[in-house]
Amino acid sequence: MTQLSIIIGYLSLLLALGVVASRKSRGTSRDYLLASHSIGPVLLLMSLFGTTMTAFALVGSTGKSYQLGIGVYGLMASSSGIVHSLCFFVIGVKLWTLGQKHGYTTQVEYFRDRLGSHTFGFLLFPVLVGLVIPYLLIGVLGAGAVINGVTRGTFDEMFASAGHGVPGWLGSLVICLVVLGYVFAGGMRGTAWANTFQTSVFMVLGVVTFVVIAREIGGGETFLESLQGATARVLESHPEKLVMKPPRLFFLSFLLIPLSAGMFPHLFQHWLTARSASAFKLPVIVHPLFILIVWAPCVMVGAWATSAVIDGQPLFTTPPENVNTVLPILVSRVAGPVLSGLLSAGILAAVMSSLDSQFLCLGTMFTNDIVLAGRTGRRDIDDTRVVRMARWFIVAIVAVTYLLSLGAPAAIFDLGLWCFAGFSGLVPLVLAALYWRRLTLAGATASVVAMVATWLTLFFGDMGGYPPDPRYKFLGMLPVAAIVLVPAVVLIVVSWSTRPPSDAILNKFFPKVSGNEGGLP
Amino acid sequence: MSSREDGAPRWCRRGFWIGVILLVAVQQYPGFWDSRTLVLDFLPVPLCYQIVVSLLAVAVWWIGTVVAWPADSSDAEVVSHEDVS
Repeated sequence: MTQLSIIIGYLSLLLALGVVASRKSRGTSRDYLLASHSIGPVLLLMSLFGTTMTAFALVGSTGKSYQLGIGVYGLMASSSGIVHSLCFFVIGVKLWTLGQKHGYTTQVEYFRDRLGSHTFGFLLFPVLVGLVIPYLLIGVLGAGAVINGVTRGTFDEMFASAGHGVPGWLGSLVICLVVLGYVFAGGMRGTAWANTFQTSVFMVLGVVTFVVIAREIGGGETFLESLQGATARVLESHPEKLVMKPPRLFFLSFLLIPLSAGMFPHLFQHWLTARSASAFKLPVIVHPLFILIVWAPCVMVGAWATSAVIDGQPLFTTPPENVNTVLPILVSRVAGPVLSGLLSAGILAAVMSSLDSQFLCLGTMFTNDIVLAGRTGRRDIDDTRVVRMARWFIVAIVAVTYLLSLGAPAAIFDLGLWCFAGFSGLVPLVLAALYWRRLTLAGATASVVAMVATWLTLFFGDMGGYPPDPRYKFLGMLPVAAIVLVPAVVLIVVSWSTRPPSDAILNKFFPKVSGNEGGLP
Repeated sequence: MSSREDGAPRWCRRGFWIGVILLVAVQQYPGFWDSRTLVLDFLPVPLCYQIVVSLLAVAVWWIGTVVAWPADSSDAEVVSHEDVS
């Protein structure tokens, strides 16, 4: 019950933060959606990092390391440290610059302007929303698994099927409601504050978790001896977890997964909150370090969990049916009730720091790209009504996501790979839009259609399915390779085959300036 | 944007992008994947190697913000940040 009380206290604190942020609001939709472009380097760093690190990073990485071993760090963490910063550098700064000049709030607004087509937005919008839903699902499933894992045995007579803990469906529902609460109250400012607070919480508590788990599993008098003891057990019973064995092409294709950050709609919105382009420098530099701080302990803990013995009993006599529960179960077994509650709050912080941005972004996209699209007299529309419409759309999408989460549980890591692959498949489009004058509307349209067709073919074909089957490969690589390559080729071929963009568009997006014009050489 | 960044020689910027490509190559290098050696008796060498790659990434991106920061981003910084809605 102590764990549950601490989690409830933490969630209440977040709601209070949203209320405080709402009092700082300037009362405009611009402030609600973009915090009036007032976010400096530190807040930008924390909110970008908190947004990209979700249940995938903590719960998913630990579970996957439990299955595959320490190679998970090379597959996802070190590659993300390189590619995420690359996306901030090459795509983020450039889009921020254009957003400032032309007043964009969403990706769809930019692409409509860049391609000179209002209709293109109606093609891109459902694709982006359709890809955000599985991303939301990762967080919703992760939150439910965490709360269930740490509250098992709390109730004597209730929730027997959930191990007498808070069932996953209830935990997920509460988290959705809390995040909706502070996003509704505080908008982007509240989200940025909550992200910063929660990123600090999960990083600090993550390190504490690592120390506590190492001491309990490894024994030993000093911390180093604990680390050595924990790894020695793995070396003895599961040595294969301490080496990397991925096929070369398979490993290479994992580089394309973090490329997805270049087209995350919620990251685009966070980029636009920056006070200046220079505010990006800190996130670009420090992001790989923060990934290291979060992922390395999780990956070690996942490997240790395969061989951990606690109170003379193996932690898992049989592998858990749902690997998402490895970390929360471990936390609940090795930490006392107070620390366990705090550590669980830290894990939930990571989950919620992504959900909030995604919720807010969906509302922004709906109002700007659908409701307000094509209306030239935006100032005539009541701002309160705009914000209200954004909120209703958010509620609808969250309800759909929640209902999906009640279905068959998918491994968070594998679900993430499919979702991120879709966003990666749109990155050739944004790169071409930013740096290639020859990109045409036909090329862009064909590229999006090709991405969707490739994704659906692979997902519903022999290689995927739901829950995704981790055994499949496409020419020895993850399907993301085809999902990026096919749209890229289609984009180039169709753009070259069609009439170039008008001079008006080219002059607007590729003005002749001297010096270093962009992030690419 | 400082004049130092505006004035970064082209070879510096090219050198930085070559550094990014090398960083990716280093990340992909499989030489230590099978090593069963433990650093400090607890950290597997394959994981230690990838951690070093993460630290190298910090250094490479820091250099990038100094020598290859896009100059045209400075134009927008003077745009008013007042609400436009």
